Amino acid sequence: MTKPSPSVLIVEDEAAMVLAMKMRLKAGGYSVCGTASSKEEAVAAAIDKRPDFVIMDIRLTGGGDGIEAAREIVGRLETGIIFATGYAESDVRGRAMEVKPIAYLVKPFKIAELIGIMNEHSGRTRSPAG
Amino acid sequence: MITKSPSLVAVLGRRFAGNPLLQTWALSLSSIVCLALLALAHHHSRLVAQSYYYAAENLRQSRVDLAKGYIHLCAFNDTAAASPYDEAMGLALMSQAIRSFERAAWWLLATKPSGADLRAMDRFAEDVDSLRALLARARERAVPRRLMRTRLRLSFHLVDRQASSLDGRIRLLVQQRVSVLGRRFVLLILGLALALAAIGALVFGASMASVRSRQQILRERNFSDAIIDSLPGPFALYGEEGRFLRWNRLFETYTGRGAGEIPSLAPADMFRGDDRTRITETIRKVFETGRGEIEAELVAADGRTTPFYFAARRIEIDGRFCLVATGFDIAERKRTEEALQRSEEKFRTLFENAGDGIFLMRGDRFVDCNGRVLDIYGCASREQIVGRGPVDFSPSLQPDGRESTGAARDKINAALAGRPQVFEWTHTKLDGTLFVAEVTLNKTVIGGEMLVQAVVRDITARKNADEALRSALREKEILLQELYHRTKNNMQVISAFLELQAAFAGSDEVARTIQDSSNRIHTMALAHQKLYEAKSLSRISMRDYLLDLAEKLKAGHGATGQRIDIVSDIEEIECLIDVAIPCGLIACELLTNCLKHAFPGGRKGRIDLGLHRGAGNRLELTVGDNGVGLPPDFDIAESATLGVQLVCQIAEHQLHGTTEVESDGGVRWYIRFNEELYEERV
Repeated sequence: MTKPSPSVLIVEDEAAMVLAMKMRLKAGGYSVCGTASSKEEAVAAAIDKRPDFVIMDIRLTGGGDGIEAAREIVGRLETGIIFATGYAESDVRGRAMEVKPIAYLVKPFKIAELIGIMNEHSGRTRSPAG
Repeated sequence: MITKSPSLVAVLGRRFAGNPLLQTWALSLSSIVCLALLALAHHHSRLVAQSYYYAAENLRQSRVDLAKGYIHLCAFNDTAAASPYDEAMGLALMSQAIRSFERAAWWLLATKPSGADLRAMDRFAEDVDSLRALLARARERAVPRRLMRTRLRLSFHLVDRQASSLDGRIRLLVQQRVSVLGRRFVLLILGLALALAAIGALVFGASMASVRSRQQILRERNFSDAIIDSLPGPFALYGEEGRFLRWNRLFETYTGRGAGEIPSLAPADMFRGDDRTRITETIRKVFETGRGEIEAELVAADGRTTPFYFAARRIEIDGRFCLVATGFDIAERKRTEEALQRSEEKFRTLFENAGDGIFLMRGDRFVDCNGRVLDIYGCASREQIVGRGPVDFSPSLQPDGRESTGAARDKINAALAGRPQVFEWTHTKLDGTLFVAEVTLNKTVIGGEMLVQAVVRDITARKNADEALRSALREKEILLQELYHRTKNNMQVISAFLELQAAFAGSDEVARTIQDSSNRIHTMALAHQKLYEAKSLSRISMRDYLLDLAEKLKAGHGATGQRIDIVSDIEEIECLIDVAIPCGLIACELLTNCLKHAFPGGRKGRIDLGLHRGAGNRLELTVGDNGVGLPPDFDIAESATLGVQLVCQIAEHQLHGTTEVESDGGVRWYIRFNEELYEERV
């Protein structure tokens, strides 16, 4: 029985990055259920779409940051949070770890690496296409 | 008479006692006088006899019948031609002579027969010679005793002689006042001599007694002189009548005055200025109350001054009030005091002019402070500080939330317990303005009392500067962070697109090429990330970097990577980013090469990665594998692959190093380069 494609919410303010990820994830067998560039959008989209994974940038437009957004989201629904951010500082990383993400990727990372992690967590072993 | 006037003897004794020469003279003189008187008595008694003979012999023709006690004047017959013997006249002369004896004067007149007196001095000598010749004969005869006795009753007579011509016409006048001493007179003289001798003896005795008592007095005086001269300072006895009575040698030394001068001086003469009236006033007070002390500068005759402390007492000597004064030279003390004062002044100046506020505290109360404190706390006078405590100049709460009262007490107690305290404290000025100070508390013991010394430094300006600096630094940090963040984001975007392009590439060859480029970008990005994570802004740990890089490349090669072990032997070396990135790129190319080509057909294998410091501070990067090795015709210079060209280019042109490759059952690359190519910029 074929499982439906896991859904992913991309929270990222860099449009080019969103586009690249969208395409690579689709190719990798994931469905991107939404994108957001602010905390409010992210929380709203997550509640609305209930994705399996949320790829979360930390620095967002508007007030608040990705860690706060993730905290609100995990407080309301069960979803795997993957932080993907330029912040490598230990204090930010420490704060992010409080919401128990499944990964913390420091930019620049390879989307292949990201897909590999998601595959592990969704119990899929097939390697991303391409 | 002598016994009735012993005081005279005593007075004379005293008078003579002081002068042994005078004593000797007086004794000699009295002896001589006694002897002279005795001799005189004797002489005069002889003289009486002589006079008698003279008188008799002057009468040339006279005859003395000594046996009958008569004197017969035979004649005044100078010449044969002279008038016959005038018995009447001779008798008259005789009786007159006897009366004269009786009257204590004997007059024998030689007159002319006419009775007229004659004087003829020129013949006197001749007559005298004749008289002497007669006398020589007459001596053979004794002087009648009665006559002698009679004469001795006379007291004193003058013997005088006058010669007159004894020729027939001129008569010789012998006028003799004969001095005869009677027995009583002799006794009187003897008595006088004895009395004189007795007086002399008494006077001598008295003088000897006086000498003894004077010697006693002298001894005592020497004793007291020795005592007062031995006093360590000047000493003087001053009488109420206003004269110096006694003083010691030091008194003369210090005043520079001689013993002859001092009695005529007034005490005030030895001082000047205010001291004169003060001295006079003190002396008056001593005579009035019995004691007094004063400090004054004694001025010597030559103007030299010495500061003294004088102590004076009133004493009574022989019913008279005197003042006894002793002086203590306090020049040394004054000098010490002045030195102390100068030292005190010096430290006071240091204290007053210190740039920090300095307090002395007894417990939690201020007991003293310097001038700077007034500025710091905005006070006008010390009275606004002394007696109050630090809490009076503090807000109720300190910035850390502690109550000022309790916190201050703790700090003071800790300082008193011997633990110096240095801390920041928020104060309030007198007008309520807040300021931050750095306070130092130290225990200090002054005069046996344990005090706290507090040094307060207004650090408001420093705090502001610190804050400005911190804020600037924070801004820079944020800026740097932002820059890194953007750089990473940009690299992420580039990497993502390359990945995307690789995924949608038409052929594997193109996909792999794009993948290689992506790896190169990640290699550079990794160096930046390491740099950002490092404490230093310019150096990164090569071990961390290369290990991470190898791990990522291995992971990037999926299944191939899993078959291969990467064994690293990397020294802990920190390199400048300018060297680290090219070195990382070389490692990336060589590792990629190994991963791609060394183990074809699913072979397992091993890659060795090493970095070591060699001679001359040169670093050696080694990348080797135990794979299939290079093709036999491989030549570095001729190799057309981008990877090899990149390695050579970077190693030789950027790192100014050398490249060496060995292929013996595998491939082994040696890249040697100098680490110190660039100067550290941050």
